[in-house]
Amino acid sequence: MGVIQQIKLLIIGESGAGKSSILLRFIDDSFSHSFITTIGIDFKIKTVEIDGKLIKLQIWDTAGQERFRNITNAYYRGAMGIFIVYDVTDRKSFESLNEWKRNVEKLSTKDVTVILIGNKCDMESDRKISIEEGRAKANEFNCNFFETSSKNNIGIEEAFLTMAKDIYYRTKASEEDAIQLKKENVITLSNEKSTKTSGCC
Amino acid sequence: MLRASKSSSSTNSLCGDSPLDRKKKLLASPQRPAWNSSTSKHQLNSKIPYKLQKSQTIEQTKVIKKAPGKVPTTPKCTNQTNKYFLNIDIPKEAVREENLISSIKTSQSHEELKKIPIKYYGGDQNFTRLPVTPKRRVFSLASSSVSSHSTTFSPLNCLNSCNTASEQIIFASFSNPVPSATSLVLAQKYESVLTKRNLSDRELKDSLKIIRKMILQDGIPTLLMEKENMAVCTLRGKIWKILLGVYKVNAKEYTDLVEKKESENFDKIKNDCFRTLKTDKNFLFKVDFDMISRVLNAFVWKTKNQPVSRLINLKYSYVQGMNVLAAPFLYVMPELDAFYSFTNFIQSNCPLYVQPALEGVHCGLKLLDKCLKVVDLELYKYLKNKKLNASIYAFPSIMTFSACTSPLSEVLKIWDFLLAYGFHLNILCVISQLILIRDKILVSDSPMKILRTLPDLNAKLILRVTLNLIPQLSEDLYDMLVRHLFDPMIYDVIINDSKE
Repeated sequence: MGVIQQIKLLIIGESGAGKSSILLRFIDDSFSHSFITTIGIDFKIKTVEIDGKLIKLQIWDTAGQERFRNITNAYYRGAMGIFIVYDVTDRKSFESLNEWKRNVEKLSTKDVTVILIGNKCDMESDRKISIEEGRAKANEFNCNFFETSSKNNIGIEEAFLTMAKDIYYRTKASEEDAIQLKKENVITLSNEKSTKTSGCC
Repeated sequence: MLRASKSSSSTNSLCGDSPLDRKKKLLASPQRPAWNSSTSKHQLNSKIPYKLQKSQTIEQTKVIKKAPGKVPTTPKCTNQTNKYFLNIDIPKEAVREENLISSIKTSQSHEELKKIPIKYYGGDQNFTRLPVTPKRRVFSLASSSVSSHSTTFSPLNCLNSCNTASEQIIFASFSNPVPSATSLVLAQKYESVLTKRNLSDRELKDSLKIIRKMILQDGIPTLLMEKENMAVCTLRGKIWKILLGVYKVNAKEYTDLVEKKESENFDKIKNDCFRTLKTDKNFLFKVDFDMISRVLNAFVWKTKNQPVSRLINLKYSYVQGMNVLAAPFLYVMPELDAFYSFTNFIQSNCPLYVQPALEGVHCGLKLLDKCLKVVDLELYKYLKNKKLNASIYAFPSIMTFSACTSPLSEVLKIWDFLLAYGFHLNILCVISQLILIRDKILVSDSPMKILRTLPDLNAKLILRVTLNLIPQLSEDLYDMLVRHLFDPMIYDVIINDSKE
């Protein structure tokens, strides 16, 4: 039975949308006002449990500015799930979503799971993007949608778990299919699936 | 103590060149190819990189291009070739010459590192003190009309920037009844070199050489009053300006640039500026975020209107990370001075680091891997097994020349050294930081946890280790180190090399 040891996730979105804060909240359950810009790329690891199975999430946090695109672009391919983050108080970050989506389509594997995240939803007074508008965008992208707040810890764990489960079940299903296929064709290959290495760290 | 005879024979008369002078000479070389993205690699390769010692230089380039897999074999250059071909051996020679510490094996543990005699970075009680030359010029105290806050830019700041340390010493002794005697003596010593009237090129170069040496031996003291007053250029600021070749500033030009309002990149600048070194209280106290955004915005305007040099085709604009690079300058000198120092620094010290595609940074990261492999194979292999390479863990340190690591006070000391001996040494400084925590890394299952936020800098320790790394690198590797900051040719060599 194929157990996924590791799921690679990627967080993308405009600079200042709060990508690193989301990650910090999910990993360390903390929030820092004094956040410095992400330079290059960073990753953190957290283990979650789904259906009694331990799954290691390796989450890559990227720098938002286009200067770093050619570095971060290299990380799309290995990602099984991608969070596209915008800032609900910043219309520009919302307007750039199409471009991010195009990037995903161009650079990542076809069956990648995408989740749209509208961050900073605690700042109601500064809100520029309504939750409906966000939902509509998610429909357009045909993906899940969450409004989150790293500051008040809203929606973040939920978003990550939804992502992890989606990938877990999808991969499990396709592996079962593959096993089924193998049985039918009576091909005995050396257990290729279990050679998945644990990757970084 | 200067070992004059030895140094003059090995490094010729260039020892005293400011980094800018060295760079100017390099850029002035008329056959340097224009570098632009439309030129194909092939074309680039076929061109002669530098004038001089033609046959040898071309030969050398061929060797490099033909065998990218190997470390290119650079023939031993004569003084003459060195002088022009790379124009960069000076820092190395200077450092090597001064580096008398017997080279230590880097596999030695942290504890053992501590036992190395601190001969050339502070601490040596026996070194001969420089004779303090009498002051020739002392600026009038009247120029120190100190405004209490310089958060709003005032051209007056530039007047204040030429105060001498002697004034600051006076202020310092007023503000603190027991000023640190050693730092005052040291400041005076610096001041005497800075204000010395140099009658010839030779003397000028010697003076610069003395400053470099003092930085290595004693460091630059932080005077008390400098900590509070923002309108005065600190002693460190003055020395930095000299090392960068910023000899005059133009308040009119700067105010004009500031008045141009928002450049095309202003949104980005604003978005990044308020997140600059937010964890450093001293910095927040002294530097306003508006100052950073003004300097960067003015930089965009200035470089936008700059004719693209026909010798070297590099475009400058705002790129993320520049805010961190501008921060140290704003911390040690008034805004106007900081603007010119920053501009000079970017254009003459690390032009390739601020290109949109980050060519310089990528080279730097590859070189870090290469150097680490040489100086600490065990650590290199360990990290490689964990699939960690420099482009993941060292990106911020390389791109910001260590300025992203706290605390700023130690960053300044490292920058003193880098400004004096070359910013390429930052790569070795980052390696030193790794070596200092290698024991921890080697037992960690996920080293990225440690490497994400490197421990607080300890400049003294880091520089001591760095000095010991230098002799372990081959000439060719060191050449690449120096050139990767500004030589587009080296990009292909390094990137191709690392592919194999």
